[in-house]
Amino acid sequence: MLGSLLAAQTPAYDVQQACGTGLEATILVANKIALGQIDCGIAGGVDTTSDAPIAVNEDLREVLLALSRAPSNAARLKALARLRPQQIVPEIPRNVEPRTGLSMGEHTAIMARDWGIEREAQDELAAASHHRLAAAYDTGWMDDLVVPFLGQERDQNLRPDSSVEKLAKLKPVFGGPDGTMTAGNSTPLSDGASAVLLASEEWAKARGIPVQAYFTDAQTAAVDYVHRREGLLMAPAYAVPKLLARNGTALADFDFYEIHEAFAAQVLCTLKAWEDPVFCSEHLGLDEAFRRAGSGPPQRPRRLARRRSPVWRHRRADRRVAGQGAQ
Amino acid sequence: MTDRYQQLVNTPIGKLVTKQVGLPQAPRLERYEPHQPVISGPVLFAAPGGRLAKSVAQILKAIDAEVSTPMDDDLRTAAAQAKLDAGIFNPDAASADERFKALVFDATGIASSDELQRAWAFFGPSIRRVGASGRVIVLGTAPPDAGAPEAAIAQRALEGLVRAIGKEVRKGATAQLIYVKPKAENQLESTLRFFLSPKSAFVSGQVVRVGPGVARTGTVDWAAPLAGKVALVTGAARGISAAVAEVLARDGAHVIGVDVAPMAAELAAVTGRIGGSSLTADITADDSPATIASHLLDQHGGVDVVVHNAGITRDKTLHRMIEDQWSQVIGINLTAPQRIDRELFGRDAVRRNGRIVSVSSISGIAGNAGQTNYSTSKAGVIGFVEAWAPALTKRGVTINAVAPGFIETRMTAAMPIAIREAGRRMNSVSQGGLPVDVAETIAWFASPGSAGVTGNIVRVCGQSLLGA
Repeated sequence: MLGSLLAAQTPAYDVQQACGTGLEATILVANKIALGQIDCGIAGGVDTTSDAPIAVNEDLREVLLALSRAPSNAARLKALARLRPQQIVPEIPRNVEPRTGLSMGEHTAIMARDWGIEREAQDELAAASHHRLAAAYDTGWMDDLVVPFLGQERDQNLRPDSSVEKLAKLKPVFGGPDGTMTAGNSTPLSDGASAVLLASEEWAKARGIPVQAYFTDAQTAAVDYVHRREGLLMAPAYAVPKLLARNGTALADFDFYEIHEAFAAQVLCTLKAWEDPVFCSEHLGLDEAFRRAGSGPPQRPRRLARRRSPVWRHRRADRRVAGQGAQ
Repeated sequence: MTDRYQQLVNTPIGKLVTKQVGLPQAPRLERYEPHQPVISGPVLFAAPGGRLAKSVAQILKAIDAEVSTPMDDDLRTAAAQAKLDAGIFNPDAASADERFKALVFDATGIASSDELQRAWAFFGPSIRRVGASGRVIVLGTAPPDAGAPEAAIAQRALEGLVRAIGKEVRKGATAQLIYVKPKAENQLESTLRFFLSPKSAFVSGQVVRVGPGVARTGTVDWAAPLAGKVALVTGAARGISAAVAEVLARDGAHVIGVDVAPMAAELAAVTGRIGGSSLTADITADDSPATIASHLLDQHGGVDVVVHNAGITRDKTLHRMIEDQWSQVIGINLTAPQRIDRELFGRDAVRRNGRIVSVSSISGIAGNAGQTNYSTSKAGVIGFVEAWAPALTKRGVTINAVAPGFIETRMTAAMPIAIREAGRRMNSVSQGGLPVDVAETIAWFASPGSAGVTGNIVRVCGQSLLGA
């Protein structure tokens, strides 16, 4: 906070939630506003893989801790005597789940198999996502949403010329040689950050700040992918129905819904789960499918158009639901 | 009684040699152990347009099976209604090493020969995924009940499919066709449980018909289906019959063994071990049916299960056979069961939802040189079942027969080696069956849950080439 342009007296805190840090930060700030504890707040999320911290070797760490605790020079020497050349090798962070030893990609490959998600469907969704994102940049829809940083103006993962034919040529990277997930229908690890200003309606009005969207409610979920056979990234499939039920609304009531995920397979698993009578009955406790089968992949939200439309203003309700995977 | 060939081929070297030379593999068949689940691996279930989706889903739920289905909305809805938490199988996205313990295919929706393609589409990508001692079960509608001729033809065609699958699957896997009569969907459970389980280890390539129940079943305790029931087993001292007595007792029945005086000690040993009782009688004697009926009525107030198991062989080629050899075999194997039944029904000794189970033989189906008398008697047993089934249905009693193939007993151990080996290997699992395989099949017929199973002849022969 002291390094920012904001008032030095502004309280700040860190939150961490696997896959959902930004989401959880937003929920926390929004809750404080709703409770009247604060008038406004900025919620943000940041992730970096290019600048990951590297820890010292676990053995070396023990030696160094013993050294710092040593009460005498003799004890310090004794601790130093435990130093070994191999302790110089650092602890490299790995992209794996500590219990299963599998990466998110490998976990998603298991889900893709469990849900019978074919390679073609994943490639189609990936290609469509690239095209839509490219169109979003080209039509200026992203202009007031993305802040250029160090010369980076667009998502570097974007491949505007991607096609199903090109994607079909890639070799599987997750799920073994007969897997369906490739570098093309999976997202690479990358850096990113985002922030949102949240405020009470009165606070915004007093300052003449236009309200772009109302935050109505949010829900996170977790699944047991170790002991029960649930897929690692299936939590959103549980969170959204719970969220909508609490608000007395259904998926069909929304103009747009955005599923923000790293793998085409994850999105397709979620959609399939919501269409599946068995999943909806046995796991969600619903009498009928949560989503009508065959209603196609979700549309990318055209926020710009919607938020300026009278319908949006008059209803003054969030007609979008966004989801992101959280373990 | 030990099958040394099977022991040998199941050693690492034996496996290698037999594979290279192309000798039969004779895999060890899984057999039922008490308290074991019905099926010990995942089940793949498909029902394109079939009417049995809901019943099968309910049964798979009841046996707590791990189930996968294709992403077929009707089937998934049926599974959801049955509270069956089934996974999804899509061959285009599945791992190459995904295996199933059983494939269950409801083919009742197939109404023309074109639609048989659905069976190909299901089994093509799944048949190689069937594991050791696996199960392939096709459910259909018997041709006379199928309605239009096109549908009847397609349903009849399933027999060929199932028999061929039985010969294609390996490692002791079996294949069966179960025809379920319309409106008899609720009668399927005992039969599906039997064919999914290791109890049907040596039964393959069979066509079974399930119809409406002959009597109300009530709730079946699948752990002890025969609890409180009284079962009469003729010829209970040895071989197959001892196994029958033991399995019926395991299922909760009080077993009354009947055998001739010279076998009394052996009989008492068997029935004593299982907490049953014994009755010494020569079933061909004039007064025996009356003696048996009186005993059952006086001691137990009636009988629930009658197993006509007593049988003999007196092998001779026809021109050398003396009359005694002919008439003894016919008398014990075929006439005695009829006389006993007539007496039991005449005195109303068989209780409602009762069971008559006869023992036929593959010799009665295929005929066997040197066994004209035996083959005649065992073919007659089939006639016995067919002739009585309709009348007994009205009395609330089922009648069925098992037809054992090569079963490892003292009788088969005494055969010359060439004939014995031919008998053992000439079937889809390349080995002889065990007495318990016959006994388990009889126990399935005897189960109070099998009220819809009558008039069936089921071979326990590992899909023998003889008479097939």
